[in-house]
Amino acid sequence: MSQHDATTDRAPGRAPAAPAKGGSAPSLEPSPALDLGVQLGGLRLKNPVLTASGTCGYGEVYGDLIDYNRLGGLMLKGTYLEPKLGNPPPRIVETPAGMLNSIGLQGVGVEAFLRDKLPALRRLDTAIILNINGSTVDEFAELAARLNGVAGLHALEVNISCPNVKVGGMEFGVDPRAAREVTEAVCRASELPVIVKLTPNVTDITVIARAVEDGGAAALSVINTLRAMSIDVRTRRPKLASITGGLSGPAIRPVAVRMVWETARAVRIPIIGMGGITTAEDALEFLIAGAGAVAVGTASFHNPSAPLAVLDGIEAYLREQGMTRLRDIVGSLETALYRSTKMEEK
Amino acid sequence: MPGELAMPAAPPQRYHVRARVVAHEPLGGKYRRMVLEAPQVAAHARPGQFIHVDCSQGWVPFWRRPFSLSGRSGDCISFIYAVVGPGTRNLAKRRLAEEVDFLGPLGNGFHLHPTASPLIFVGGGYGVTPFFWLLEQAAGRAVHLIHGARSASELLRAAPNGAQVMYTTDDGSYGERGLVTDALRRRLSSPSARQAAVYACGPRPMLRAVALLAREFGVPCQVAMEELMACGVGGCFGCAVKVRGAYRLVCRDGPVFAADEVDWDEPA
Repeated sequence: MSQHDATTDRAPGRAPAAPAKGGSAPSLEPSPALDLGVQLGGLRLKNPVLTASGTCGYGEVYGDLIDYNRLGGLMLKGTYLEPKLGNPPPRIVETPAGMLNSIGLQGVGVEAFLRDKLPALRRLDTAIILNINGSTVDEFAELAARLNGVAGLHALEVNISCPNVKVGGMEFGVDPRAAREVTEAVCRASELPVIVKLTPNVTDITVIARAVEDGGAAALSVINTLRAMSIDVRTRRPKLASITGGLSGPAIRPVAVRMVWETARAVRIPIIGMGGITTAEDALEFLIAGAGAVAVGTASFHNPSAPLAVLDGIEAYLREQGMTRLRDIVGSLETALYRSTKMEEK
Repeated sequence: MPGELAMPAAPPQRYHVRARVVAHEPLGGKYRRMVLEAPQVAAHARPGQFIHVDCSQGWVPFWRRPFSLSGRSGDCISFIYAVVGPGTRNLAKRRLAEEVDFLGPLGNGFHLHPTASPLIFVGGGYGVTPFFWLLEQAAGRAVHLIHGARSASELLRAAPNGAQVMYTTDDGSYGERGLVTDALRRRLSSPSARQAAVYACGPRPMLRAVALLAREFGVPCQVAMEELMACGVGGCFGCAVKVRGAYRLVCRDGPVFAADEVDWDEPA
């Protein structure tokens, strides 16, 4: 399997970030049990690794190829009240270290989800989070209400950040007032913890993040795809039928890490970090920047086992660092030290 | 008759494996054949299915590459590919005994009509590769393979001995000058072809033309389609084709579709 080249993840002389109590000295004693648990508002995850919405269908896509029971949760494909046809092809473009997509939230609609998809998911020992969509605030609220009392559903992820639908989607996510209004409406209607997925296509994500926090969200997903475009120079046509699409994959990771860091300093609610995570080291960047959990998305298209490799690597890192609790690493970025080590390197 | 569905009878058995390269040989022109030792995959695979191969070095290219299976022998499967881009250029460097990471078998595969005769296979360019295996499956029946390309250098002349093959080239540099559909029309016009069934794989404009001919002559037709594909297993929803008014996925619902169910006039 492809891997990144070895990187210098720790500068010389740099102390491990936020060592746990009694921590870092090598010991011959058996390693203590790791506490990988994550609390996202009212949602408890057994570990911090989820699948990102729109990359694992309704949980049936990779179920025979990897063991979903090992993951903290599945964030399922975007769903509306009604079935959605999706956008015309071509819908995807391969780009350097990533891809564009404009699927247009093709989906079965909530009734078919409940009837055909959810029963199989109830047998899994992992959190099930449905990504919900609407063209209006009322549609979001109606869908959230429809999902009350449904066994086997543990949280909602409110999608106010899809760049590929004509009505709704990102419209709500670029305006703090609209973002708050949708959040409030869903929180009022729903008995489940409400996660809101933010778009990176804004000047200042912290403004939207604070509005959504004020609206009552339990947690934030940061980030959705970046609006992007690719052109076939021979035909002088856009490579996507919808002209623009959303960029995902390793290409967007540094942007996502930056936005998680900014958001974490602006809000008190937990953040699920996502955007180009392919390895454990990538995921650790998000956790150190302030994400309480992470989601693996586009990487699964290349390697279906990527979420498990990320989880295994996070565990290995915590043991190596002598840490016993995942939460000790969350938000442990040491900016002052970074500047001094950089000077030493010069 | 038209409307013969090309759907799998049983739930798919698919695997993510690293398989040893047991043969890797040039086939002339830009074509190469790779044979991989993958017992589980070989046990469940059928003609028309594909494998999704990691051709990357350091995540370049970012997506896997799908290849139709072109044969099975014991514990091994084989596929033929054309070296045309960054993925296939990487793949061409794989040596014997190295391992190749792939997902498969994927998709539904062809379903040969139980009684139709003759069976007519139409392969455009490297779209011919699944038919080498389908020819083996159809052994003992009346089969014609029509294989066309722009010119002689793009033809893949690897059909098993004894197969009845007609070649066409756009420029007349080998076989008959013209399109595969010219040859197909002539074949279907013969009174002996009234009970024929057609199976096609190639570029979408060719498939559309083949589908229209099959409809004109009232014979069943299955087409194996190709679209840009990221995950290969139904996760990304990228490889959509419109079938009976709804978007279906080439990787999961296809690649083989009943020709008369595809909405050919949709842009693609």
